[in-house]
This record gives sequence, structure tokens and C-alpha cells, in this order.
Amino acid sequence: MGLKKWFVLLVLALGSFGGLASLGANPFLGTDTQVLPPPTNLNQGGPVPQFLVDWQKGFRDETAKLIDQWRTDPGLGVILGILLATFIYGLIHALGPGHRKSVVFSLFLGRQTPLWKPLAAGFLSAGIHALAALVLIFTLSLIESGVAKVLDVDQSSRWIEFISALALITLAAVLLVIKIVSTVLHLGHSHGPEGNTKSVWAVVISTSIVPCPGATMVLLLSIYAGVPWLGVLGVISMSVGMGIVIAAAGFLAWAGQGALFNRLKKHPRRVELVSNILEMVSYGFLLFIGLMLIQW
Amino acid sequence: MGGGVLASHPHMYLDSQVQLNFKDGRAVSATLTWVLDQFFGTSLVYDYDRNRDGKFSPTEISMLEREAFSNLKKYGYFVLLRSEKGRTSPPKVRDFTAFQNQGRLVYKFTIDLDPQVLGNSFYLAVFDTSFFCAVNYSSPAFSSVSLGGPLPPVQWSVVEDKNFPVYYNPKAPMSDKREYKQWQPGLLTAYPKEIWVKYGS
Repeated sequence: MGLKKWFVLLVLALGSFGGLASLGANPFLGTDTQVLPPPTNLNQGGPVPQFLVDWQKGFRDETAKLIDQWRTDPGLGVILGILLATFIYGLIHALGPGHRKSVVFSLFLGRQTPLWKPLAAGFLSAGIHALAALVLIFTLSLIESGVAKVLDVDQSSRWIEFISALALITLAAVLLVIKIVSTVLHLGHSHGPEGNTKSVWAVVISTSIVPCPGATMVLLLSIYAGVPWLGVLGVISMSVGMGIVIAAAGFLAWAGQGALFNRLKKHPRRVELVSNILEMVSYGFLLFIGLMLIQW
Repeated sequence: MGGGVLASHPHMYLDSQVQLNFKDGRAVSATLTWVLDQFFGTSLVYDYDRNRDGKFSPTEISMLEREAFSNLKKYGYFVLLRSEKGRTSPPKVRDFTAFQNQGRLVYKFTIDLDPQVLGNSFYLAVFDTSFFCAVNYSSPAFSSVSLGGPLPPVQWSVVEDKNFPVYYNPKAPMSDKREYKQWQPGLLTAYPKEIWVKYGS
């Protein structure tokens, strides 16, 4: 992809990356006796077309209807309907602000990696995001000896989000300092144009452990209906849909750095310099994202 | 990347209907009826309809109000009232109740209005500035009833007035209820759909 085409795509995608949206907490839920972490940025960030909102609602309602339908009219059609509805819901939902697209994009902006890595990072992020919902509800249900209460799910999610933001800040700060020091001191150890790939997976995992509210709702609804396995299938399908969008963000970064480094390939020293700078910029941006998530 | 020029990125939805209550020809209160989306509503029914009889007892309603509604006080109960004197949100509500209707959870509550402040022409919006919840107006979005005395003629419509955006600071704590009359760097912009009401002659 040429650099100009990539830049145009990036500008168009910025609306999708939106603000520094966290998942936010449900404003309905909460009491004065709850012990809560410092509030995270509750705002969902940038604009989303009304038709996307309407579509999301439509697919959510359809999923709820199908889960309910299973009780009276079970069949393959219901299963396929749930898989399709949750897949499309995941796709549309991830197009809105948040969902770690900025994180994945930033991580791969300054690295020359094989294509499979940014794509894998996108699906890994979505998968962990959905798996976190499963683990949370399962754990709370065990503790409460019954189905997890939505208030407890919400409160736990707020704590997990806060811890995830702290992890992102810490990781990004440490990686940035290490990169700056090693670049300035020209230390022998270099990860090459691909950068430190272990750090990539660490950042992806730590920022994706926040349970997906959409997934928690699908799971709870399926548990109430007595078909938790249906909810699990729905969550897997939803995470595939979300993964496609987040992977696309990673692809965008990969394509951009590919175009950039293609232009620089005749100047190996410039490649190394630009690669180092971009890696520092990416860690700096990640640090900024983390700091903006928490209302200090 | 800024502002609610378009719409929210919601994780839940609700349908809202507003009933304006008149007494002696003046609008003295508004009763809001909210139908919550099936996902969130079903979770609350499961958690709070403890005896699973399809109804909420007074104790269950009290718990529901305390744990799954009262927190909205920090958000002005999603209500934005606009008149010539500016924009406000109700500090409190009364007569909260909840019930189940065709599998959906419904909240109903009343806010008091001050006719001296609002006058006989004002705007009421139900809008979540945290963008967690997408609000739709039911069909019809509005109705009026008299609690005593004759019911005056009432005009109403749902409008989106780009001249009166809501500016808000997405990074402000929930306790920050400042009203921003002008855009400043860092603020986002939203254009909530408002119900315009005019009554009397």
C-alpha cells in the first residue's frame, strides 16, 4: 500500500478509534456503600452514526429473542441465528470508540513484523476481552453460590478496568524508559526493526483483560434461560466479530510502517533511526492512553 | 474525533416516555416511564425479583431503587430541562416504582417542575452524557394529564436544536455538574433530542 493511500485510510479510521474511550461503568448501578476505584473515563468517546447505534440495538434484541426462543423452540436455526447476530453485533460494536484499537495500532506502528502478528494481536485482544467476561461471571457465580449479580459484575469490572489501566501505564512507562536509554546509549542489545515482541503481547494481554459488557450480558441472559453453553457460543462469535475490527487496526499500522520503511529501505541507518523513534512514539502514546483512562 | 455530533456508543438502551402533569393549568411535574433493554432489564429482574413471581414487592422495589437507580442522581437522572433561564437537571425524583411488562423491566418515576422557572414553553431531554446508555423516545414520546383543574391545550414535538448543544467534559469527575455555555478545548459536544412543550394560550 502506498504511503498516501495509507494516510487517507488512517484519517478515515481515526473516527473509529475515537477518543480514549474506556468501557465505562453502568451509570444505573452503584450505591454509596460500594468501595470503588478512582473513576475511569466514563465517556465513550467520539461520534458514532445513529444507524450503527440502531443496528447494534437490533442485533442485541435479536440475540435476546433467540436465547429466549431456545426454551420453547430449540433448533439449529436458533443456534445459527445467535451466532450470526452476535458476530455482527461484535463487528459493529468494535467499530465504535474504544476496544483497544488505538493500543493495537500504536503497538505495530513502529515495528516491521510479519503480517500475522498484528492480525493475531487483534484477535487475541478480542478473545481475552470476551474470555474475561466468562471468567468473571464464572468466578462471581462460584463465590455467590448462584448466578453472579449484575451489580457485582459491574463493580468487579470497574476494578479490573482500573488495574488494567495501571498495568498499561506501568508497562508503557517502563518500555519507554528502556527504549530511550538503550537508544541514547546505543546499547548493543537490539531487537531490530521488529522491536521487543514480548512487550507487544504483554501490553495486548494486560489491556484486554477488562470484561466485555456485551459479552457479560449475553452470558447472563443465557444463564437465566438455562442454556449457558449458548451464551458461550455467542460470546465466541462476538469476539470473532470484534477481532476482525481490532485486527484491521493492527493491519493499518502494519501497512503504514511497511509503506514508510519501503521508502527508506535504501538507507539502513535511517530505517534503524525511524524504527527507534516510532517505537518510542508508540510507547509514549500507550502511556498517554493509560493516563487518560483514569480520572486522577 | 470529538463530540456527540452523531450518537453514542452505548452498552445499553432504554425507551423513554414523558407524561407532563398539570395542576390548575400549570405544568407541575413530569412522570417518566423507561423501558429498559432486554439484556440489562432481564439481569435486574433476575437479581431483584427474588421470589420470581413476575412482580416486585415494595421491598424489592426499594432495593432496586437503591442499587440500580439511585446512582443516576449523579447524572441528573438523564434529564435535561431547558428554558430561557438556562439548562438544569432535577436534583431528586419521587414515587419511583418498577414493574415487568411483557418480559421487559419498566421504571417509572416523577420529577417536580417549577413553573416559575420553566414558564409555559420549555424543552425536556432524556439523555445520557456518559454515552453508556442510548435513549430512544417511545411512540408517542409525550402525553399530558391533569391532576386537578382543566387541562390546557398543549403543543409538543421532538426536536434537535443545533443551537443548544450540551458541552461536557469527558474527563471531569461525576460530581462535576458545571454547565458549559460555550465550547472550550477539551469539551465534547452533544445534541440531545429534546421534547419541546408549549401549553396554554
